[in-house]
Amino acid sequence: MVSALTQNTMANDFKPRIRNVLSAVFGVPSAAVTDASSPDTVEGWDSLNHIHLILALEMEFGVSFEADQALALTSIPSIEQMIHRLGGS
Amino acid sequence: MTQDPGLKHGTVGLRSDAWYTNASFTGFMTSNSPEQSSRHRVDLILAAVDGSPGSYLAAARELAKLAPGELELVRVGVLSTFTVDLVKPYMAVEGARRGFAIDVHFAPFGQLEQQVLEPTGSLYAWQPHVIVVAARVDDLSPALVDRYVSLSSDEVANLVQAYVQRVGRIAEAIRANSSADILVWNQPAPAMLAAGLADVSLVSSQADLISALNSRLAAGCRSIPGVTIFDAARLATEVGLRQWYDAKLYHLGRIPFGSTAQAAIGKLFARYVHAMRVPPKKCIVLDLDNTLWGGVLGEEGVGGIAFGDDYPGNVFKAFQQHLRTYRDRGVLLAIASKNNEADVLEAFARHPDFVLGLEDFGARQVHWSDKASSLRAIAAELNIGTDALVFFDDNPVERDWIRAQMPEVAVIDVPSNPLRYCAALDEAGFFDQLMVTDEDRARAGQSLSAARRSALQVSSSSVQEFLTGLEMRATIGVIDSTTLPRVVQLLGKTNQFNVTTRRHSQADLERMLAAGAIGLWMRLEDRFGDNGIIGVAISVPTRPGEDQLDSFLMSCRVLGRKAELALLWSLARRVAGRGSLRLTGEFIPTKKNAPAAGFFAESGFAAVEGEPNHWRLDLTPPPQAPPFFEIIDRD
Repeated sequence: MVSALTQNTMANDFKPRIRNVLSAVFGVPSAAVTDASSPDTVEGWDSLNHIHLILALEMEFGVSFEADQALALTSIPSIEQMIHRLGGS
Repeated sequence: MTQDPGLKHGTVGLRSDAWYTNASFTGFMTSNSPEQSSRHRVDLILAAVDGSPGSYLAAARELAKLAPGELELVRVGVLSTFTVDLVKPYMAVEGARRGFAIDVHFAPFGQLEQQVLEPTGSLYAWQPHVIVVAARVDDLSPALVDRYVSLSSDEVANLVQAYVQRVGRIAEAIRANSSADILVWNQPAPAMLAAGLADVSLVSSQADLISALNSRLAAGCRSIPGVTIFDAARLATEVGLRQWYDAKLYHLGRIPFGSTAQAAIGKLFARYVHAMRVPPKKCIVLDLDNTLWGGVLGEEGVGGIAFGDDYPGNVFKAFQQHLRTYRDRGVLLAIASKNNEADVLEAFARHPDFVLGLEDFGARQVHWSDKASSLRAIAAELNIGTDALVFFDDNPVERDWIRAQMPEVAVIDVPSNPLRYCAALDEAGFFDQLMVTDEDRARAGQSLSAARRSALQVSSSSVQEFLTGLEMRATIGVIDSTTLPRVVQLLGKTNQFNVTTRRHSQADLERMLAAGAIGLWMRLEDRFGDNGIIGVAISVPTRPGEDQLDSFLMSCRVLGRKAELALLWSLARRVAGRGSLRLTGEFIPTKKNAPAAGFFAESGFAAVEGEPNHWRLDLTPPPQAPPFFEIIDRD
């Protein structure tokens, strides 16, 4: 029960930070970044900026993505899930 | 002691690694100017950089929105064999910290010759100020990396030769088509050694081979004007090879290095740009208590201050040793301290461990009045501008005072921990120069003989006697590849006796000489020592029978010795020798070149009527050789 609660709180904590990172990397307002954002909908989300995004997320959350994982990080829900899985903080 | 509340330096402290302030950008500090608000805008952008990649990206984007001219524009073209684009935000942010708007264009990777061999191509059309050539040995001679163990020594030698020649030809092609400064990357140690543990035991180890290749590359580049090595090898060692290389990024995007390396590359690149475009400062003004030694001399006495071979005295000893390396490469040292002078003299005379002696300091101001007047007195005594001073003082109140009183002085943000003193001085980069010349090395020895010379000047009954007593010998010769670097250095940094203050680059000067300009250097020796190359004269043909003085300068070390007459005599002789009847000249006034204002009138030129600051010298008959000199005029 407690851990589920904690998990829930953390989940709520991660999302704004992820949005901030995306906003900084792609140069769009934080409010414009939603769960539906993807390389297809965000103009600056090209392959080079995707590498920038990976590095920025790794530093922000203290995690290291494998190459395959890194390529799959194409939406906020997938990023959030991966950070949880890797024990990000 | 008052602090000017209008001068805010809070933002500087927020930067993760700014051990220097932007005091060198004098114009930005004057109150209420448009530059100030622009500088403030830049400071705000930079203050938001917290070291994370996202913050660099966001700041770089903001910097790109600044109006043209808010920072000095530097266009950079990058040619590489790998994806280097990721470094762009770091280059922009670190460049802005040093006052530059870095505008980078990357050529598609792998296109080296295609870009540089096409004189009308997009690279040159864009007119870059700096062109970077980053070619990995892994890409150009991959066998050296992955087949090393199976190669014969001949094959290794051929591959090294091929690499060095190819990069050299690229640099030459750029030189032929552009006057940009050229930065050539050298090679970091390999990520992995082909022979593993056994590498170090190989007759020629792979690690040694890479450093030998770097030496060959540097030697090849030295012979091409305006080419500097970007020391990626050294940087990778500082960063650490495990942090430098990033296999994931390489395989995902052909980006060989990780984010720590990217940030370090951006920072080092900005230092190179600064060294290319800003003349180095000339003097470090040092405090004494808690700067050159630990503790307060006036309270603790010579025996009580911390200095020696044990902690914490060894920290200050290391700093003095580090300062000596600056002195050895020609940087002047000076003391500005609030102390009783007698105590200080006693400390230097009696302390057994001091590394620096009083004779190592070109000037000394030890008293209780304010340090701004001390700095002005030091500059006057050393015959340099106050804008050539760097102030190093552990006391933040003194630093703020100098910032407020003398915005032109570069003030080091001295860290509170003395262990960081050496790095703070180095990373500020105020003395960065791309090469150390023999003259720089000799200058340290010259400050002593300069002091003896002043003593002679006082005791001589007349200037003529003084000049005769110096037994001066002027050697004058035509600028060639050996003397070119020193000449370009003098053109770049001489402010006072400089008639036109034209800052020609090495490439520009080469082009002028090839087009028929006469370029001369002058070396001056006297009974106290060799002053090195201290004079430059350049004339260009303008019309049949007439040459114009393009540049004429003398280092401030030898002002007041009529040496300019020796140089002018040689130039006039050569100009007349090729059939010109007159030499024209123009004095272009600057804030600093008043010492050269009287040059034309005092050396026989006639003023051109109706054209202020324009002068002419008839070469029939040619001028007489001046007295006081033995002149060796080399053809």
